[in-house]
Amino acid sequence: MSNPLEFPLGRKCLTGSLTVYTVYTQMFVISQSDKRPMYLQIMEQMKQRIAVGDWAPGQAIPSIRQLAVDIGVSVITVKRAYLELEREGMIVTRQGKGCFVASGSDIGARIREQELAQHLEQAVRSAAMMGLSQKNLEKRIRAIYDRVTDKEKETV
Amino acid sequence: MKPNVAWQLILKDFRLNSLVIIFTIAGGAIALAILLIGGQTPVVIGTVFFFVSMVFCACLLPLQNIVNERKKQTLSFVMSLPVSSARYGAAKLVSTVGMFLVLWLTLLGAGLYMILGRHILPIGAIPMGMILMNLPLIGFCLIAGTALVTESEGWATAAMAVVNSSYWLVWYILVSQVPSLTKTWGGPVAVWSSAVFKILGVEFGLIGLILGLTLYLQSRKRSFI
Amino acid sequence: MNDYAIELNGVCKSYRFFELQDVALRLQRGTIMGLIGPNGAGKSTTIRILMGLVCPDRGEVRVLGHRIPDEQVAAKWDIGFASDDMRLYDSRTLGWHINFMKSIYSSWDDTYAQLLLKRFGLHAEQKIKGLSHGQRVKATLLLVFARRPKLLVLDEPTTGLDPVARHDILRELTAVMVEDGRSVLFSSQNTQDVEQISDQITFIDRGRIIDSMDKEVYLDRWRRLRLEAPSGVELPALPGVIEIQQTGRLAVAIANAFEPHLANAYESSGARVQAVENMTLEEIFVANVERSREEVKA
Repeated sequence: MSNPLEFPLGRKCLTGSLTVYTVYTQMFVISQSDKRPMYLQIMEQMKQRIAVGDWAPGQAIPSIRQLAVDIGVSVITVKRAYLELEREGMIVTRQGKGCFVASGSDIGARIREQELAQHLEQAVRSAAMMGLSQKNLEKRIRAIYDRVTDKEKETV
Repeated sequence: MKPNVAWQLILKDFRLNSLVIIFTIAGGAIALAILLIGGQTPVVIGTVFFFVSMVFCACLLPLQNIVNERKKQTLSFVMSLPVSSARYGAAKLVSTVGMFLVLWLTLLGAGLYMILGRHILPIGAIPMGMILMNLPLIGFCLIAGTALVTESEGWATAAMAVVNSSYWLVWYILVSQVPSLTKTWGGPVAVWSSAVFKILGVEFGLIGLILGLTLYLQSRKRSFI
Repeated sequence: MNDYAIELNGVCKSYRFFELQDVALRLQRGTIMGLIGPNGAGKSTTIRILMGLVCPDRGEVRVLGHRIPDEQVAAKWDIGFASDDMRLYDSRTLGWHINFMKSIYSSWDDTYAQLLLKRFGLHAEQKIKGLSHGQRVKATLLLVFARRPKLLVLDEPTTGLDPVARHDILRELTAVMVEDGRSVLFSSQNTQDVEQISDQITFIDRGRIIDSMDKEVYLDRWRRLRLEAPSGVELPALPGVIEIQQTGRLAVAIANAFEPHLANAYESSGARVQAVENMTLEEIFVANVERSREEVKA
């Protein structure tokens, strides 16, 4: 029994039940020096693949076990990442069929939205810690926005 | 049908120590070559050499095959195989004794050929020769048994020292206390007196006792490392 | 058919200067367990006991459903064992050892063995005495991996290896998980390795098991809180916090049973929480050992 697994970039990896000579495609790279827990790193990289479009909505993704072996981390860490992603609605698990990216063309946009929300919240928290007033914060954001859009106009 | 691990271990020991066996048989062959030269001095030298090669093997084999397994730390490799301590001990004893017997039987056969075929020594020497041949065999069993049971190079070496210094003592006792042995060894006929049989019986009994005790003590062990 | 690949209950063993006390350990089938602890903590002794190499004074040991040491031969057919004090036969080649294993184990996968030879950069014609330390360790592990045993028991498999060799070994260890029902127990001084590939972590110190649980749950319980305590504010002793180090106005609290409301508790006492940080397994290791030694003293 063999399931062909299609990884992005078109590399196929055939796995049989007895003789498995795993080809390590290193789909994701987990860094030990990154302060965040491994499962969060995995989640982020998976979301990036979805946001970028490598994994289309409804597409099959590697099983927990296969991904764990590919990255070289424990099954339990990948399981946790998958569980959290499922909770956020990014992926779905179908009994007996495997794991898939959630359907819906707005997944990519939703991920970017989530990222923005996180960045904004962090900015507001830092500002609050510094004791910056809401008005001053808005002023600073506006200045940065102008600077960034000006630069983009220059490069065009 | 699962392969017999103990048998594989015995074969492995033979393969690992093949050089030792060849070396000691070569020593014995040289001894016999010297005997063939004929004449009083070569016969004496040859006979001494003959026994020395057996005594040497009796010391070297237990060191190489038994003590080294622990010293060179290959014991955990062997014990990770599907084998119990008792079977390991038994297989180790069988392989060590087996390898010694290769030398011993070869020399026994060659010795008999020397006497019966080439008439280097009188036929009357055969019973005494048999008794003397058994001495390195007993010594070997004692050294090997000690090495296996004590798992200690120190104790094995002590056994070697005791055994090696006892050969002369035993020879002396035999010659002085059992005069019937030396009376007929120069003659043309082999005399198998009751004294000879008694002594041979004691010798084989000792071998059986030592090996049996070794196997028993080995099977009682609770830890290998 | 039992759910656990390894079960130790109430295992005790005393030596002259060291005692293993009441060791209880359970390795679920199909998972990887990392055994960590300081030198002399009892990792090797525990492993030797479950391999049947050492007989415990008290306690029950079951490996793959078999009682140890009585049924150790049956168990060892399916166990691949390697320890850092284990040596192969110096005068023989790696190929000789491969053939030896083939003559005993029918599960030997020669294709995989050849693949591993390439991956590990080894040659079958090399004599063991000519191998470097790292090559020898890889050779010993190759002999274990290529058998595809149901259970792998490895005592410090990556100790003394260069980063590339370590990476190769960890890769093969995680690859064991591709097949359902295969389990791994490995002990290591390298907390990074344990943190990365273990499903379960067991902590042992001075002959006692101090912690044994799911890795993600375990890592989630530990936090380092960086606090600012203005003058006059006394930092309260909160349940779940095992250590507070304070110099001047800044303090660091280490919690081993972290809950989000812990941060709030500090805030309401007047202190400010600057950061709540996850801890690496190495940091947890040190804090844990120090804590358990304090407890024993008290």
